[in-house]
Amino acid sequence: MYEGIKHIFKRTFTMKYPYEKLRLPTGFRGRHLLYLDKCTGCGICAWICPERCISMVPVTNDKNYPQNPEKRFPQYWYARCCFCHFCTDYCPTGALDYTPDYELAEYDRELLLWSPERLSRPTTHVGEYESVIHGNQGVTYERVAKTK
Amino acid sequence: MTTEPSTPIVDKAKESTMDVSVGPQHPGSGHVRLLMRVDGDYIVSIDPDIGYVHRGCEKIAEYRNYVSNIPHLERPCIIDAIHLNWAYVLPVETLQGVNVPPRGRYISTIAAEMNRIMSHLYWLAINAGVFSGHTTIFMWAFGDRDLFIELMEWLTGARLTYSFLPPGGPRRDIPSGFEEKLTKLLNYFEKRLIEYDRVFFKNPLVVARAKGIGVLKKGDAIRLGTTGPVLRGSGVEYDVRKVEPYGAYADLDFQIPTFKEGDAYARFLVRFEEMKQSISIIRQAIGKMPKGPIARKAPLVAPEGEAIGRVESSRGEIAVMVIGDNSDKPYRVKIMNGSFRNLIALPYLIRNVHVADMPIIYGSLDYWPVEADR
Repeated sequence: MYEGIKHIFKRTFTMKYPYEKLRLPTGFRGRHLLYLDKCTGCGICAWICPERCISMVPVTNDKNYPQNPEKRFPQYWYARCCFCHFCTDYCPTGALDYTPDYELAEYDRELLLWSPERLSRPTTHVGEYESVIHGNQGVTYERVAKTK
Repeated sequence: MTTEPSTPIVDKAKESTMDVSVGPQHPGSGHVRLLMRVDGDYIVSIDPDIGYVHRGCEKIAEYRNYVSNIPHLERPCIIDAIHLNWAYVLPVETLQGVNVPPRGRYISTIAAEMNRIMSHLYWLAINAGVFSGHTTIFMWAFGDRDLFIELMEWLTGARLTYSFLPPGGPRRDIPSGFEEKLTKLLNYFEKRLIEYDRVFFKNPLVVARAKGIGVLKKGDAIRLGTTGPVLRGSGVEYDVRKVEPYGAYADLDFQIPTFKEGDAYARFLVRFEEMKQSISIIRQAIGKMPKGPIARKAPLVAPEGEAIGRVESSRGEIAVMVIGDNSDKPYRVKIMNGSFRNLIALPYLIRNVHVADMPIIYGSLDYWPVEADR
């Protein structure tokens, strides 16, 4: 009874997810980001990938990549990816990076195949909420400054 | 020739008994079928039927290189991923002759102890809370577990499947501000443990349901080969962290909580006391953390030979044997884990008990079907 009354005055712990999103830390292992101007097409990412979801494909655009004359870049098959990001850690040129994008569901299976150009798009995740511990009053998720 | 059915059949039983199958789609049992033979309200015998989630991890490991093996070898127990990862990496490092720098070992220890708290909170929520009909502790433990998950997300980049320890040392250094937030969380969590104790562990209903049932005597626990909290709940002081220290455990001071009773309640209390010990270990590790490099560069190839790594996970001892053959892939990986070794105690414990006692005894073993099936 005492416990019940005490907890009436505690704040709620939950968060209204699609409208309120958590601010994710830097280095959160979400979708990959590919810097087309750094990738040399060596294929170490495809070799290290545990799920074999990376394939090296040629890019057909007008731009020239001096470091990658064959224009071969990694393509991700996100239906398989387990987001271990060993590809990012083992990339010798730093051409891959982490993004906080985790909402990668698609209506069409084919759309889960991310081309190198699509991977080079910047992140879209905007998280504004963070957990704050209030000591005896419990824990809440509170709005913080907008960060990407 | 007719095929013998694998399940017990009524003609072998008495007329008053009945066979009841719990699982494999039961929300509580997980991916395991428990074949109970009941006589009225009493369970005459129980026969666990495992193997529903066998994924052949050990065989897959022969086709992936040493680094690529990490993500799928930690999948068998995702709520305890660091320990499975560490148990696999220790023998690989022994084969390759790589020594992890002290700072790397301290970071691994902090991550492992946080993972132990999270795993015990999961057990407290589901296997102790829900199985004994205690909804409050289910909500509380899951809520507090999320705070640890957030910190692990900050440290490793993922919420559950960390893949944090490749051969050579952890992937990332501790981010700035992490230690302060972790200390704040531990202070908060220490107060919460007092509330857990009052609301759940000292709750007369929980005590009445868990005390004195499923007694595993000390001799039986050793004879059956149980490990981890089940063994310590029967009064055997055995912990791989003390017996064969790995990581930074040799430098840290902690106790092994043991209880003589050997009943389900003793196993509950072992895990509760272990959470307190984990808090103390993390605090010491933060205080003693040395400066320097976190990881050494490990070769991608391992030479010929075999090595065994042992780790005390939340469910007992995990031992992994790796055989190298001078290539970038292991010749053989063998995983021995706590869930599988503790399950053998189940038919001994659930005998001549009420049907209502079955979930409590099953929950007190903290059995994780996927880990046992591998």
